[in-house]
Amino acid sequence: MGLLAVANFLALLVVGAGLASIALIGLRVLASLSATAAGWLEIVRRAIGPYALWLASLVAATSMAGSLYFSEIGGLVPCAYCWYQRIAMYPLAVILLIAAVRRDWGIRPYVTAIAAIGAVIAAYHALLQRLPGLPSGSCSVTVPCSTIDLERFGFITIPVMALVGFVTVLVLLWIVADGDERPGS
Amino acid sequence: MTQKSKSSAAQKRRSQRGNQASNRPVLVVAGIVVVVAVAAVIAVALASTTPAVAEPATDPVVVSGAPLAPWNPEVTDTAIGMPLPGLSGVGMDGAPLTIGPDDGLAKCIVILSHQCPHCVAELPRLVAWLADNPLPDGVEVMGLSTLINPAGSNYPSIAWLEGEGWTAPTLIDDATYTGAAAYGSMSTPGFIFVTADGIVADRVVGEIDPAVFGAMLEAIAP
Repeated sequence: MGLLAVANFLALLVVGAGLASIALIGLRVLASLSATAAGWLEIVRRAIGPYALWLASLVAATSMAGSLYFSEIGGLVPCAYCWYQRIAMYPLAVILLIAAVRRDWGIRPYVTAIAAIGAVIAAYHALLQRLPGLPSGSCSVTVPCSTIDLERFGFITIPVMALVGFVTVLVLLWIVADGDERPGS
Repeated sequence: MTQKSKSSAAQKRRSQRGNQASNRPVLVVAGIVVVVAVAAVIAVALASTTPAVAEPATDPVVVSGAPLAPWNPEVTDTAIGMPLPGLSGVGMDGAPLTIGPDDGLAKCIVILSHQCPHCVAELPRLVAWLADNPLPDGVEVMGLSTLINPAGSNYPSIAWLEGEGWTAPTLIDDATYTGAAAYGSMSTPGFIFVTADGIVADRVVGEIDPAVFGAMLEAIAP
């Protein structure tokens, strides 16, 4: 697969993960208001809650592999903000895998802190691409953070992919796995 | 229902739940595999579709004359006063096009990139200004579309340029950005103002007010 096919593939996964995350966040909000919604959330938790660490690990590993593909094979040079997001995402891929193997739910506070920081940076980077006047009035030819050097389906850029990755990890750890998988259980 | 049959039914339900639980990891993995497979098939199919408008195939852009010094707005621009190098390649319609210093016209060369949000913001303003204001006598506006990247936003660049109503003769840069490098371009959008005798009068980096653009065109008019 070439760069475009890989980008399309990851973008499709991002669309799926994004929609699922939005649906789960919505369900979590509704669950506090409606017994029916709470029942549905419980069904989701029972079905995939025990695997939430594995799924979060998979999300982080896929994000890491995607970013390495884009830079090392696709030839897209990461900008400064891309690197900050990598600094957050790459450790998640490792520590979530270890936590999944050990079933160590105590990892949640550490993952939450790293993923939240990554999500904020990714959100700012995505905003920078849409409101480029924030830092400057031009795109550097070398490695500009505002340039949209990869965009699929009209809105999915690399920082958007990262943002969805971080949010999905948080949703998996805090909404999907909020039942029997509490720390210490 | 007797006590024995109740107990048997409960045992059966527990057994079913146990089976469901033991099957669950397989179902989760199978679900992931299906999602990945479907996404891969769609991704390859989408990547192999031909866009309605294709970027003209470009041979390497040919540069004649000495390239301009790299463009750093924070220091004195040493390109000012230097002769503009000529660029030859293809235009938006795929026909040969040359941006030359020796056609007897003063000119502004607008350097744009389809994936640069500043260029995306600037282009409609320029188009509107050019539609409302006649160019000074002896002055032309040309374009250089650079940093062309099939994965980037607004690709292909000619679809973006034409879609915004940009009609100025525009050279399509090659894959190694030879044209932008010859102009010492370090950022987009960029503007190179050239006098009628082919000498660089000014270079401007970044979005500019169209009124300033107009004033600078007046300044280079013969």
